[in-house]
Amino acid sequence: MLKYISRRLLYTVILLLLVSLSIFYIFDLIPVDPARLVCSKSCTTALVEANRHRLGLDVSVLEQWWRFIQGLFQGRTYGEGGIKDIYCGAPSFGYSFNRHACVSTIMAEAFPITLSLTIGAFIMWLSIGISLGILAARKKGKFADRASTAFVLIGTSLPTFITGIMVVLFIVLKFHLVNPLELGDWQNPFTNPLGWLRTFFFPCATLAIAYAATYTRFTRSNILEISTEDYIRTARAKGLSEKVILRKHTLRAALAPIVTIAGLDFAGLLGGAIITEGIFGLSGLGKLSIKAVTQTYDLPIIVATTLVGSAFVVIMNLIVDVAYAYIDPRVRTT
Amino acid sequence: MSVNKLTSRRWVSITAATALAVSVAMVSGASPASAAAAKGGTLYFYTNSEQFPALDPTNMYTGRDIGLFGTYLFRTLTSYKMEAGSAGTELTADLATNTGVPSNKAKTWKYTLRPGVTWEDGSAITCADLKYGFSRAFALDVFNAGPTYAISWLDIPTLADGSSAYKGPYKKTGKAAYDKAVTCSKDNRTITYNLKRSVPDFNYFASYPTTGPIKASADTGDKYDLHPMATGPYKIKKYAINDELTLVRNDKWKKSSDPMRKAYPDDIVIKLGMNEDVRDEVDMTDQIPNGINMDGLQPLNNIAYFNDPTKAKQRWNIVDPFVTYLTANNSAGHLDCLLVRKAVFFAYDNQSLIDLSGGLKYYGVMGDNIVKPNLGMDYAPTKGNIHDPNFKIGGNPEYAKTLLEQAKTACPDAYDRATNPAKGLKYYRADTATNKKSAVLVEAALKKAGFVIETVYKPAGTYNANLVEYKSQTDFLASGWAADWANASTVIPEMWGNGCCNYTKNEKTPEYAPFIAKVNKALSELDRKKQATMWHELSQYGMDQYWYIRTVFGKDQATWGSKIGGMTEWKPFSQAIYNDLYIKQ
Amino acid sequence: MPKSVKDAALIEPAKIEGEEVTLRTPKQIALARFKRNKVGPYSLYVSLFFILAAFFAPVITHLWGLSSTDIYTDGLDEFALPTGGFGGISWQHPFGLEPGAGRDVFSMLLYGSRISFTVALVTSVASIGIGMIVGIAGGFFRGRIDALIGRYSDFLFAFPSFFMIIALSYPMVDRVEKTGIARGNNARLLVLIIFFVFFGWPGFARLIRAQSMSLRERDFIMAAQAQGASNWRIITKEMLPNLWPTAIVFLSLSLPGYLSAEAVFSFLGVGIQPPASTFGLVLSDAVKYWKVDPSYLFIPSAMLIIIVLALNLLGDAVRDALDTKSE
Repeated sequence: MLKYISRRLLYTVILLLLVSLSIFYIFDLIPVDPARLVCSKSCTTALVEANRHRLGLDVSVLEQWWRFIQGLFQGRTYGEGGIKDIYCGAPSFGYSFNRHACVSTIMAEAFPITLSLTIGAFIMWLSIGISLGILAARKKGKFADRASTAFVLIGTSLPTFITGIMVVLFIVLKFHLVNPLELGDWQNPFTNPLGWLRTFFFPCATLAIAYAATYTRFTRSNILEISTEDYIRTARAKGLSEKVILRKHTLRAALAPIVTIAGLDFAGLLGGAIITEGIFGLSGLGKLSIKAVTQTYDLPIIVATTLVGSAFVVIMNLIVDVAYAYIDPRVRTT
Repeated sequence: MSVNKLTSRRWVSITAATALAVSVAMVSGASPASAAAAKGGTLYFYTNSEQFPALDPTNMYTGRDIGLFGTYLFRTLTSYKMEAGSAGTELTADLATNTGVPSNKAKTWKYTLRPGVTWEDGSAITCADLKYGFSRAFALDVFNAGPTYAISWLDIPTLADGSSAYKGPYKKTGKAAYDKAVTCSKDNRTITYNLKRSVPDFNYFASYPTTGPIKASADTGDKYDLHPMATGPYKIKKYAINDELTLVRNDKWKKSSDPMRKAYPDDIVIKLGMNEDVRDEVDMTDQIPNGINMDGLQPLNNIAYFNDPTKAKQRWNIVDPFVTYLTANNSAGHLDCLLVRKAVFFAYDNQSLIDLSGGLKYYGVMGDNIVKPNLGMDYAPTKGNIHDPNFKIGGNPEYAKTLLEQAKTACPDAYDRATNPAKGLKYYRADTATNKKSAVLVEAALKKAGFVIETVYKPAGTYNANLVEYKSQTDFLASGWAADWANASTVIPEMWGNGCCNYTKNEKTPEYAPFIAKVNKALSELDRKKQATMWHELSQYGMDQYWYIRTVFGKDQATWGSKIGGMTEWKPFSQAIYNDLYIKQ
Repeated sequence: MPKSVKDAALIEPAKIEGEEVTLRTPKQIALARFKRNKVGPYSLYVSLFFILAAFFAPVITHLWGLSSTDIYTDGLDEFALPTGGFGGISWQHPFGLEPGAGRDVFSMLLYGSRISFTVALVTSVASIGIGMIVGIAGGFFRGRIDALIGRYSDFLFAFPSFFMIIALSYPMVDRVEKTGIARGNNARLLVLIIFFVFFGWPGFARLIRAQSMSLRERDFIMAAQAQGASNWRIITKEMLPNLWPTAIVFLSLSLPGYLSAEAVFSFLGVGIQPPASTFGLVLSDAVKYWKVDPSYLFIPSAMLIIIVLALNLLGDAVRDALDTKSE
């Protein structure tokens, strides 16, 4: 087992290095010149070159990447040739001249918001999705089945930019549930749980509406499939009640595969929920990254958020795989 | 419409026009500051923007921010009077004891600091601080957004590549030259600026935060933008991008040294990054009664709000200082043909475009000049363009077709580009919701006249930063501009001549040489009346060339909550007189 | 990042009992079951109706006397809002007029769904094609090919695809235009499809790989191998027929997924641009008008919901019909 884990760990590290390297190369291809973007109206060639040096873009892509990796472990000094050198301690993800701060600091501020959003939404969509799925499976073909399927599908078929704004306008603001000045304010869940709930309940619900459908349908079909398995038939033959069978046997088997999707959805969302964060004014990783791409073209932030997003996915993959290997020893050999 | 008004406000670094000789503003129901004005309370602002373009005074160049932070945070040598009506366009002494003493044909300007003026840490503001603050604008590699008048005016030699010999306080080069151009008196209270040429407007420039003091020992470089040191009645308590900017009272500020500033609210909170739809709903349902919307509403919600009689005292609709325009690329291979440029102008369906953005009442009217009427004596109606008998506001495709027909023989290359389906005109525009709608209208109208046109969307956030690059690739560009102060010298040379922002690519056209010769003559003309006449001739000349296809004289709306008192227009900025704002108890 | 396309990919594959001996062929059984399903046929009709309407958009709008590019500004007031109730609904404009620019909403939606369906269909079919080949190659041959494919798809999975599409779409469109293959919206359409396929196929390939791995161990394949059948024959004659149902289910579930994905990208300003229209463009525009012109928001939303619902239910019905176990 230990050998398996260490092998997977090594693989994950290599994967992350490769992903990060390709991200550097990809953004180098984009025909936007950050050195020119920060150049004033009376721009000269010399000035562009000075900017390029200050932004650390005057070396090869490989060198840029290597400096970045070094910075992750040792910290790094930015802005050579500027007013003063700027030092960001390890792990340093770069320095944003647009926001005048170390990217790691900026991300550390955004992360708790995204994490809260993800955890809240995760709990909500799992509980809604799975319970509706069980309901649908037990009442297969009946009204409750159709109604719950239709409900989650309607929820999922409208884009979040519509459901989200409707939630804000027709529920939150209409009934004065949250003061618009506090909309999206960060609240510490440990010192101010109520405030945290007020900030995060509605955005989490919006995301949950979008995600629940997958889980409802997955649960439903898995339960239906497993209930035809022999061991369930045996249990039934033994005279166990349907409730006990569901709880003790069917659910356990039916929900195990959900771990994989749930893990990946969770990790994907940790990278930032772009639209929901924008609507609810949450300054999480999603809002950070989308603005950096579409508005300011803030390269250090783009690279860092992209990388962190993929790190979440890769690491979650690792966790899921290891969990599976623990459950099913056959996996380890493949 | 050529540019979304909200966008243009946000992205074009433009400042204010002053001197309203003609009072054109229509302030609906804004009550002037009354005796009821009271201290206390928290004043809120809210905006969709996630951060300010700049808080560092050296980089600050948008009219709104100069008005806002010039009132609350930063004091400058001179300032516009914080008064309603045309009094607001006059200068008054702020940090200095007077608005400046020119000598040597306005080539030398002298200012003496008012006694008792201090920084937020209690130390006195000195001439050295002023000198250091002024010098930072030369560090173009660090500060790229502020005005560059200091560089072109100060008596410092120019290098071969056109840049100044002085490179700012962070480098050693040219320091001696700067020390000669800007000098301090022995008591460190009086500063003298020595200029290359006569600048009778220098006192106006002295109201820009970029000319204000900076304490060298407190200069944290790139990070100074996050917490600049205050000299005004408030100081920064917290600035979190994407979240909020909180200002609290600066207890070192003394009323005795600053008779002008009233400082009514206890705290000022600017909420950043509010979703646009949420922001509009907040306004319409008055959910932040002691708050002010900094952006204006989206066009549709704007109409709903302005049709609501209960909001009569919480809004205004004024003529702003901006001219928005559609630039033609006048270079060879593009629209180097007057007939084709004219055909585009006459084909445009301006009516639908105006309707789309709020109608004549809220969006503005078609312009006949790049100088806006509220610039005063420098504006005169031009002949031709919208006064041409063939001009129809809903578009005149028939006339456009006859012009194109003439172009076929007169300039076959440009004609081919404009009508050949394999080529066609390109219109680079910022990728915003309103632009997407107007693109539909523009393409439909031009196609009716026989043009082939394609809209190319460019990322909205970097659109303005990239104009220099786009101008040689596209056939049209959209942008906006407002005069820096009441002289067309901050408009015509900047837009069509060798100033900062000429995107017309007209330098190589035969019409350019006589034009620029006349511009240079006008710039050095000291008789203000004669100068104005020259500006009139020059704007007529440019408009006749259709270097800009069309211009729009825009309007601007503001909305605020029911508990805000003292909202009155401050003419130089078309913003509130921030000084008068208070919370109704 | 809601409603990712991977929803569809994660649905459990249908299990076909290949060795089942009956008087009817599996196809016939499935068809009979599909017909017995109460929802299935209707969702099929509804889906077909919308797909056909999209396909024949030019004909329908022409018959109606409309054009998707014409501008009916006469029907707008001084603030460019449609005159008349319910967003200007009339016999001539059954879905009303677009506020602002004054286009006919009916033809906008027809032409819009045409583009949206094109994106969804081409992407799904291409992902299935690539996924099928790669999945079988990996699952059947195993060994180094499998390892290579597995690593590569791991790499793609780890890539933040959503974000990459947003960041790269402008420059990619530039590049495509420079090569001269396509211009304007055609280039954007091409780029969007390429991106969707690029990041979409590994999901399906994994599904097929898992299935072909288990199929390989089945008796009937072993029997064929024992008889000396070539690999090519085993794949085309024995394996493919057993993999098609998965593809069909995947298709009907990934269509709505890509429709929604297109909408989200349009909202973020990536992908097709006006004057063309898509579901996403209409919806992201309409949401701004919810207060002054609610029917402009309601009609396209309702249409999208119906289409997505119908396609999803169709997918469920097909899977149920093909699944012999869940009786």
